Parts: sequence; structure tokens; C-alpha cells
Amino acid sequence: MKTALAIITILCRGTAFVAAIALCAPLAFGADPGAALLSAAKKEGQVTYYTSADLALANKLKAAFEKKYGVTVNVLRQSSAPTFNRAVQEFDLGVNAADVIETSVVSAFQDMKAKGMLMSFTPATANLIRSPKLSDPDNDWHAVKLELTSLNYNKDLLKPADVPKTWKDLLDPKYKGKIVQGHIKASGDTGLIVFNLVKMYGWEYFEALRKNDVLTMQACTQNELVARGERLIMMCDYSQIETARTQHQPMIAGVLPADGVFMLVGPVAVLAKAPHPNAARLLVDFLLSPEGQTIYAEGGDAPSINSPDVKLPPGFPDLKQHKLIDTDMTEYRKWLPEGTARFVELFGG
Amino acid sequence: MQRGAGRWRSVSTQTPVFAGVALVVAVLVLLPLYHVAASSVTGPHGLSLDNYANVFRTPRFVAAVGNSLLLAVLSSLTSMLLGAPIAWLVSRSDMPLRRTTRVLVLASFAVPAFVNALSWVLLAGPNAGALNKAWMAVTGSDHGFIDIFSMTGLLLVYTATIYPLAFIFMHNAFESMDARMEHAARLLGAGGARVALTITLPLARPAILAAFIITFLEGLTSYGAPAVIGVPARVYVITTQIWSLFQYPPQIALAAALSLPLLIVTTALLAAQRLLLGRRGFTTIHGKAGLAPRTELGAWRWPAVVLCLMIVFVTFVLPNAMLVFEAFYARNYGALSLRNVTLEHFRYVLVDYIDGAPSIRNSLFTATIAATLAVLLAFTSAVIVAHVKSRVASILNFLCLLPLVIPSMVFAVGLVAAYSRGPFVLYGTLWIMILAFLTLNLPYAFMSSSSALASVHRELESAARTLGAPLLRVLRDITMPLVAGGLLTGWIVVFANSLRELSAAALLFTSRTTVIATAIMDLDYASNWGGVAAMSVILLAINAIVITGGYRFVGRNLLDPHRR
Repeated sequence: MKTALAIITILCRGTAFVAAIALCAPLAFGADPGAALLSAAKKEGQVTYYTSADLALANKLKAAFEKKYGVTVNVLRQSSAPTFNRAVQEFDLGVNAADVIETSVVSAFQDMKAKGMLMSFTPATANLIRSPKLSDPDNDWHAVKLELTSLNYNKDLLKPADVPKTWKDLLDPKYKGKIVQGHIKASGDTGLIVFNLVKMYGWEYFEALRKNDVLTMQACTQNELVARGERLIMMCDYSQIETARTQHQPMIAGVLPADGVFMLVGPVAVLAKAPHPNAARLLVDFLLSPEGQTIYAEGGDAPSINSPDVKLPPGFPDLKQHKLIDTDMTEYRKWLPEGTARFVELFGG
Repeated sequence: MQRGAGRWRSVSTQTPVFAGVALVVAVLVLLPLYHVAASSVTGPHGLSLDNYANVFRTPRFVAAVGNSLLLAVLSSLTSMLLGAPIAWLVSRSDMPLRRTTRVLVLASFAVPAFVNALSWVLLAGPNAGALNKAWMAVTGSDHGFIDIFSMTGLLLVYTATIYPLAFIFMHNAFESMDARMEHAARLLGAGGARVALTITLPLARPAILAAFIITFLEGLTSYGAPAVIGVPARVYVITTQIWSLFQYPPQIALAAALSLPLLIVTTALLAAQRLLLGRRGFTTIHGKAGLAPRTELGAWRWPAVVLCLMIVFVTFVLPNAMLVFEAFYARNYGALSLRNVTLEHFRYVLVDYIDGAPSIRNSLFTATIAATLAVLLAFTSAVIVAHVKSRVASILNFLCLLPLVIPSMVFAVGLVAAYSRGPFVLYGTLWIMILAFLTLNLPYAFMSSSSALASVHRELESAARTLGAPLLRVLRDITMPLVAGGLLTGWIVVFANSLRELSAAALLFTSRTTVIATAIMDLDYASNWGGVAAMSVILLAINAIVITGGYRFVGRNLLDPHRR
């Protein structure tokens, strides 16, 4: 009897093992996307990519993907909030123009998932993603980049000694009238910055910042204002330095603040009603591959996968040297309405 | 149905046509308004006043109402202070360069407020605006003298874009004034200043009141300037709050509750104006200006014209010159150089920018269709109102003019509520945009049709009618050719207004229905100022071509319909 049970157990385990291998097979070969996916994607011929990534970065990703697979990428580049608004609107209207969506706001992806707008898909490199917090449990979305919040400044107009080292430094009266920030209603970066700074220093921080005559615009990406010297320091993200370089604004430099670098998770997802679902999967797969991730790093974003094949560009900050702060997105999402109301009280809008 | 001499005898056979036209106009105008009212009193559990309670309990909405009222009062005052004296100088004095001044003031009316505001950001950004930089270079000061991101900055842009309206009203009034009284006073020995103060001013009193009301309403419902500089200036107004309620997740019922009071105020004020002024309130007055001897300014002729030109320079020439410069100048932050002149920004908005080319196509399409439909509808309505004496006709007259009191944004709220559910789902298509442009501009098409019809000799139509031609044929063969100029004027006004319309478009556009105005705002949002400038130049160029082309064709200044 005992022996029989043991045999049955072994048999079952064996079956499970074989089954597991069979299930894992497509993943194991996933580094080179299945021939079936590739040919289906080629048949579709194109993919529409809604993204909040900077236009130069998006175009680089587009060029690399098109060269590799011969599938055309239509890039629609807008800030996070408009990208999300557009996708939701189109879903509600039944337009369904987009295949892939990428922004810098995780909560937007949680909202889209709740609406049934996203398609579950596991890219080949899913197991390399830095932390389980960076993927949806049902694989509806995956982090494709980690934006690093930073203080960017005009190095031609700000003396080296005056470059701020921390967020807290911005409250120094010598920065009065010299700082620009985005609006919490419009900018994902700003939302994250406000959430974390309020957690660290309380709303007093923003009351003081207001007294320091911070200028509030819609988006935090105000390279133009900083380059012209309208304001000298912007509270935004590190990748903007690379953006500025491509826009003939070489005077924009940046520091990762010593009191905390907030990591803004930028997710990517395939839309459930994508008109080109195979090309969409192929694109997401590519974005998360070492090749795609290297392009993100060149654009100033930290890669979301851990792989020796991702080549960081020279001068990319060594993240081990910085105080990186993860944000609990569920908590953030709960806080956002109240945080927005408080922010609007202080800065209008 | 009463039929007198000159009325259509065979009217009964045409009645279905009239009723049909009246019905179309009624649906166009009234359905969205009904939906604003209905959604404002609809809560999650049916009828409720919660939305209103919400609006008046929320401090930022209350503050927005206060800011809107303050800006409206102040900008109405400043607009009158600028507009009325210029109007008097141009129409009643012997100031030199009167025609140039008039054309420049009217041209500034054609520049939309949001474009003017964007130009002012480039000119008067507190630290890097061109004017402030020049100031700092000249005086050695470490800060500028003007900050566009402030209440004062907003007031400046409001004034620059609203004072031409005060000018038009006052100019028309001065030109149409009966000159005999002034003439008599002068014969009795009164001097120029005394005539102006004791005769001209009192005669102009109704027009002054009307101009105050119109400029106040324009300020109250303005969206362009606060959309551009409201956030950095921390000044939020009713219209920007309505817009903000349309962002995800949209709260349309709350937006409706915020809209309805605006509609009530505009209606009440324009009704009051109409009561005070009678029928003249809505129509341009045709002049007898030639009869009036002009006041001689003597030594004041040149100071007066310098002052006028300075005002026009600051409000119109300077900002638009800045805009054109920015559109053709590469991103470069060093010394000025001719080598930096570039078409790069135009290439960007036309090729790289994904919404660029489609927005231009969409704008041209919606403006053309809206203008054509508006003129057809307005002309038919004007014929009915002119020829048919019945209750239907007077209701039609009222309906065609009613959109004058409807703020664009409020109307857009109604359109979204009316056409985002069945039976006609138009939200997300260009047709909802066309409905907005068409309906909001119907009064202008109607007024130009009416005044064109009034100038047609009734005898020609009567002759054709006597010979037995049916009404529609008479309209086609006799009336239409005679009024073609007037209709073209109406068409161009509707087209130009549609192209520059932002406040309705900002609520109605979706990913596939971007128009030039909303594309400019999107570029501004990303602080792509070169792109903003290039796109604005494209907008202004299209309007300039259409308006001056129309002027050639019609042979008179379109924006100035009483000059015939």
C-alpha cells in the first residue's frame, strides 16, 4: 500500500515536472520571440505606440525596432496624463487606435486594468525585472523603465557653489524665484515628488516652497524655461538632461538629490483591443529586451531589468551610491485625491 | 397668418419649409442648453441639487467665480478706457492716420486670446521675457519690470484682446449719431471739447452701456488667456475650472452646475441691454457719418495719433512680431544672429508632431462646413423673418440671435451631454465640433444675411413674384445673387471665428479630432514654444488669407460691415 502510494506520488510529480517543462518551453526560447509571433506581427505590418517617453527616445526605440523586425511603429508622444486620457477616451468610444501604451503613472495602469483595457502578456525577460513590485500580478503590465526624479539646472547661469544638493536645499531663500515645478494634475513626476516630499517633510515643505516663489507650470518638463533663464532649477527627472541635449540645450545638467531619489515606475502594456495584437506583443518584448533597455538607459532612464547585457552609457549615475526610494503605488493612489486638493489649495489650478 | 403688401401670398405652400428650418434651428440651439440644465440637476439617484451645493461648498469654485467677476469688471473698464477714446478719435475727429488706426484695431480683434497670451509669455516672462531682458540690459536692474504670470499679466492680455470690441461698439455708435445736434451746438459757438462732452457723450450713453455689458461678458467667459497663464499665475477662473472638470475622470454634472450660473448672468445682462436699447442692441447701426463735421483737434492732432498708435503697437504689433520671430528662430540662447533663422519649427509641427498636419486638416474641414451650413441656415431664416409675418418667424428671429448670450464653453458642456449618448452619438467626431462652431456663430451669419436682405429692393422680388415664380425660385434667381456679398461676409466671419475658437474645442476634441487651437495648447503644455509660435503663425496666416481674399472679393472691409 505504502509503496503504491509512493509510486503514484512519484508519477504525479513526474507528470507535473514534464507539464511544467512543456509550459515553460515558450518562455525559455522567448529571448528570440517565437517565429509564430514574428510572422504574425510582420503580417500586421505596423504597431501604434502611445507613449509619454521623450520624443527623441521614442524615435530611437522606433528606429531600432523597425530595423530589427521590419514592422512599422507609429509613435504618438504626449505627456502621461493626455496619453492616458486619450487611451481611455478611445476605449470608451470604441475607437481602439492604440496597440501599446507606456506612461510614467502606475495608477493609470491600475485604472486601465480595472476597466478591462489591458491584455495579459508575459515578455521573455519578465523574470529579469528587478522586483516583483514592478509587474502586475496578472502580467497586464510591466515596468519598462525607472525614471529618477532629480533637480535639473542651468549650469551656465547657476554658479557651481549654488547648485542644490537636496530637495530641502530648495527652501533656502537664495533660490527665491528660481525654481519651476509641474502641476500634480498634469505630471506624473510631480505627483510622485509631492507624495514623497510630503511624507518626508510634511506639507510645510510645499508651503515654504510656495513662499520661495516656485513657478508652477502644467508639465514639469520645462527645459525651455530653464534654458532661457526664466527659472534656473526644475524639479523633474533625470532623463530630461538627455532630452535637453537632443534639443540643443546643452546647458541643462542635473543632480540626484542626496535626501532621496524617487523612482518613478514607467509601465508598458498591450491594450486588450489592440488592432495589431501580435506586433504589439513583439514591441513590448523588444522594449523589455536588453537591447531596448539599453536605449532607455541612453535616454537617461534606469533600466527595469537586471541583465549584464544592458549597456549603461558612460556617466550614468551608479544607483548604488544613491538613496533610492520606492513608492507604494497603492498607497499613492489612495493619497492622490487628497494630495491633489491640498496642492491645488497651495498652487491653484 | 397676416398677409399685407409685400408679403408672400403663396406662403401656405411654403409653411413646411419654414417649420422645418425653425425646427432645425431650435434643436441646434436649445437641445444642448436643455442638457446643461438637466445634467446640472441630475445626481446619481435622480433629481437633486447636490451639484450646486457641491459647487458652492468648494472653495476653489467660489474663488474661481470671484476671480472671473473681478477680471471681467476690470477688463471691461480698461477696454472702455482704451476703446472708446480711439473710437471717437477715428470716427469724429480730424486725427491723421484714422484709417490705419482703425484697421490695426480691427486686425487685433482677429488674433485669438490664447495666441496673444502665448506671445506675452515670450515678451514678459518675469526673468527671460524679451522685454524684461531688454529692461535689465538697459537699466542694469537684476529683475524685470513686468510679470506676465500674475493677475496684472492676465488683465493685460484680457484688455489687449477685448478692447477692440469696445472700439467696434463705440465706433459704430459715433458714426451713426445724428450730427445735427452737434452741428447746431457748434453754430451756437460751442468749442470742440464742449460739444464732445455735452452733446456727443450723452448721445453715446446707450452705446457706452452696451459696450460695457459686452466687454464684461467677454471677460467673464474668456478662456484663452487663463488657459495659458492662469496656472503659473495661480489665478483660476470659472472657464478653467469647467475645463478641469472635463479631465479624467470627467464630472460633467458638476461642470454643468458651474456653467448654468454663467449662462444666466449672460442672458440677464443681454436682456437688460436689449430692454434699454430696444432692437438696436444686437445689430450694427448704419451710419450717416458723412454728415457729421469732424471735431478739429488742432495742436492735439499728433499727440492723439501717437497715443493711438502706441496702444495698437503694444497690444497688437509687438506680441505678433514676437510670435513671428519665435516661429522662424532656432532654439538658441546666445547672441542674436541671422544664421539662426530657420524653418525647423514649421517642419516640426507639420512633419514630426503627430497632431500637426491632421489638426490643420480638421480645422479647415470643420470651419468650412460650419461656415457653409451656418450661412445656408441663416439666410433661409433671414428670408423667413423678413418675409413672413407669423409667430414662427419671430421665434426663429429670437432663436437665431440666442447663441449671442451662450458662452462657448457652456454650450460645449451641453453638446457633450446631449450627443455622447444615443440616439445621436456625435462625441468623438468632427461633427460635434461643427455643431458647436455653426451654432455659436449663427447670429453673425444671420445678422449679415438680414442686413444684406434689407438692402435688396423689394420691387425686384415683387416683380418676379407677380410673374408667378415660387418663393424658392425667386430666392435662387433674384435674391441670392443680389445678397451674395453679404452672405460671403457671413461665411468668412463664421470661418474665421471657427478657426480661432478654443473654449468649445478644448472640451470637444478627442484624439482624432484635434484642431489647430487645441494642438497649439498641447504644444504649449509641453513648453515647445517654437512649435507653439509656428502653429499660431499658420493659424493667423490662414485667417489673414481668407479675410483679405474675401475683402478683395466683396470689396470692403469685412470686419467693418457698416462701411459700404
